[in-house]
Amino acid sequence: MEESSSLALDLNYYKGVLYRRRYPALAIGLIVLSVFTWGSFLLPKTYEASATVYIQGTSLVNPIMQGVGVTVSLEERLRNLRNILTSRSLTERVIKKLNLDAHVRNPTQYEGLLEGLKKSLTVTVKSGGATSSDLFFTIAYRGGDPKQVVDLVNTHISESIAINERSRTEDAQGAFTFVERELGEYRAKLDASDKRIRQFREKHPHLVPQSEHTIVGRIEGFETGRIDAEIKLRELVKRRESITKQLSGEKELSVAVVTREGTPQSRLSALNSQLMVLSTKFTDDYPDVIKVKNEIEELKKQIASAQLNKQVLDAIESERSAPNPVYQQLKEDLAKTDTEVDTLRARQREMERQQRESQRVLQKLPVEMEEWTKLQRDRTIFQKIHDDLLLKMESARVSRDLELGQNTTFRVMDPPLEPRLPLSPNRVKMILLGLFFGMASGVGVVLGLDYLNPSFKSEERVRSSLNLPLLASIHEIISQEDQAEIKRLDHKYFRAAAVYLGIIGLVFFEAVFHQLFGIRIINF
Amino acid sequence: MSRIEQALEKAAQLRQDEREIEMNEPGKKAEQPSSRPVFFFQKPVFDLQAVHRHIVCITQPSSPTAEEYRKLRARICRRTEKDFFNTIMITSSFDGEGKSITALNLAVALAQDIDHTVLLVDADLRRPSIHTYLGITPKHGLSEYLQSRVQLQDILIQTGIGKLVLLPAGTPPKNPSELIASRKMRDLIVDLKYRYRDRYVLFDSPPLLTAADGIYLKDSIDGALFVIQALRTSEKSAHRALELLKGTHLFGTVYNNVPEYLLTNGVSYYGRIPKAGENDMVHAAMLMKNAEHSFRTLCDSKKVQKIGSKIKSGKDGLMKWTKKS
Repeated sequence: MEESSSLALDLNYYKGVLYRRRYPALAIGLIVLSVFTWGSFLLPKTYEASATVYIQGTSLVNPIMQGVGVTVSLEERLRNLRNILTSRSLTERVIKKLNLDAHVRNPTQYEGLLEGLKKSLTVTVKSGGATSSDLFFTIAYRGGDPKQVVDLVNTHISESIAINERSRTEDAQGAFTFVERELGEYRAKLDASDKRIRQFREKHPHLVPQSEHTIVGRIEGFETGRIDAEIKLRELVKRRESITKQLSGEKELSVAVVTREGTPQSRLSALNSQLMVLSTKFTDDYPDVIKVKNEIEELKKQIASAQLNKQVLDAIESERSAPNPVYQQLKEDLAKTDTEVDTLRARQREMERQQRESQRVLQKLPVEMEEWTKLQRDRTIFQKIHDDLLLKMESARVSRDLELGQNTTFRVMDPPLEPRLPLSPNRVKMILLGLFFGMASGVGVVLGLDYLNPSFKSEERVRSSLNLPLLASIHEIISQEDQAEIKRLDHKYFRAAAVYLGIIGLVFFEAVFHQLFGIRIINF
Repeated sequence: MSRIEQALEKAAQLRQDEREIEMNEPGKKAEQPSSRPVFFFQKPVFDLQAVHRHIVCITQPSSPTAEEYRKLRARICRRTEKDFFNTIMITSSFDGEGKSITALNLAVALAQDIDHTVLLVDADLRRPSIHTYLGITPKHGLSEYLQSRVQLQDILIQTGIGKLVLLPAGTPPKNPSELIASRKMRDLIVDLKYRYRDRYVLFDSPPLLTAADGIYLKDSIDGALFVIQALRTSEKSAHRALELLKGTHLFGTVYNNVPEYLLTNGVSYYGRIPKAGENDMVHAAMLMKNAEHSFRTLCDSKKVQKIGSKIKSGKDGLMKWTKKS
């Protein structure tokens, strides 16, 4: 209840404000209405002519070859068509054909003319018809001269058809040529890449194909071999020293009774020496000591028996002139050992060299591998692009042949007609808009000014703001004379407003009549 | 000429005689200042048709607006009777906010009260307007009195509306502030305040924010009434004006010239505007009221009583003569 009463109060308030300020509200409303109404006479007239063209593709090959050649999507076709229709070259051809640049004196004026034409042109492209490949486009031109806009539309259509035909051929051929040229370039690049790889392999034969692990394994192998050779060499050197030592104790020519270990005396002395050494270390019960003692005993017996046998001694004496086989044997062993030592040294050196080489390769491996990877990658890319281009070239060849063999029909479905009524200004619409905006602005300005008025607008405000008792609220005094004066003024102003609105109404109905029947009652 | 009009004329003549007697015997008058009002009923000094239509207490006394002024009168009386606050300044922030109309309507409303005598002083020496609202053209006024060119009794105008006397502003002087701030003005206010205890003295002062006169005046009067015009007086200017009135007893505010749509009680004023001819009726009613009052006064007077007794004796003689014949 309170809300509704407050709403009613608000409405009464606004009604009161509007009534009180009815003259300014009316004046503002009429001014705005006048601006719209008379502005519609002052604004330049714009006419529009338009035509719809149907493009029908009739190629029989097209469905069969679909998927073989490059198929252009519908959106792309629409976009291409729109680009052609709004292209600068087409507009220039239209200007030239209609001789619109007859009065153009400099490039700036020409650019202005071009821009003006492009702005006045509206192009709508859509697909449809019997098949999805059929397209429609609508061309509309706006301008101040109704005849000129019709000419512009006609010329634009004829020129766009010619350009479309030519551009279709050029596009197909151009695509093929482009792909072919690109293919040639990539073939050259691929060859160059192959050459670089070959040169690299020649330069780094050890590198390819090798990995870091392989080289490290090889280095380890070389190291192991070298160590083995070293050990073996040391053994051989010892052995050689032993042989040399033995060889120095032997005579080149000796008696026949010799043991492999030497003469019995030398052998005996050796065994004695050995026994002495062993005795210092071990007890007499140690097997080696017992064994050496036994050998000494045996040898002593042999020496004793040899001394007793004179024949034997003679024979020994006779055999002194023959080569000593032990000596010979040792000589041979020495020679053999020397050979082995030399071999091992040579092997060791080779191992070291191989190891150094492998280490050098290992150090250079990252840089070389990087270069190698780059070469490989370049080649892979070039190869891939080359293969793609090769494929595309074949597709382009088919598309070109397909496009050239296609037969497209252009049919003007809706030819341009000379416009009878201007597109703008639409007087009916402008007057209606003026009426609406006039009312809105009249009401808005008055209420806005009231809102901005900082004066006291209620008794409550007087009480609360001044903090003084409100002794009386004196109503606005409107006497009989005042009322008569108000009435007189209202009559005067509203009559004048009504007359003025009547004139605007007349203009409005004339415009409506002209729009509906095309007949001018009053030619403004 | 009707009987009422004849009676009114006779009463006016009698009143004139009485005044002549009083002026010839000033000492007698000074001795008994409050025994009876100085200014009494008589025929209005102004043409009723010339009164401004916004003086509703005269032109439309039965209208709701006139009733509002009567309410204002009641509230003022209630606030002043205890402390003998009888000198009241009516002021506003700026010109044209309705202080003179408020002052005049309030003065008329107070004057119509049987118990009060009212003196309305047009203290706006710059743009005096009270006399124009009443449609009169006084030769002299307050400015001439303050310049000692005339005597007070020569400039007081008995309006004939109840017991309302007007002290007009006179010719606008070159130094209004100085005149208002003068000792003579202060003495005059004191004199007017204390001469008649049942009299209200209303001062229509210049606006506070455009002239200093009101500020000088406020120190001599008992209280002030602040007039605000709806949709015109801004809050800022009202506050500034009230700042200037600091130290003065403020009876309250009068929210003036309020359009119908701002009224919170929802009373439509337009429906109550007197129809054609109503003013004449109002005038006639006022004349009747005045005539009635005059008739009663006349009946109370000795001469009339003598005449009445003569008429009565004449009537008795006539009756006797008739019986005899």
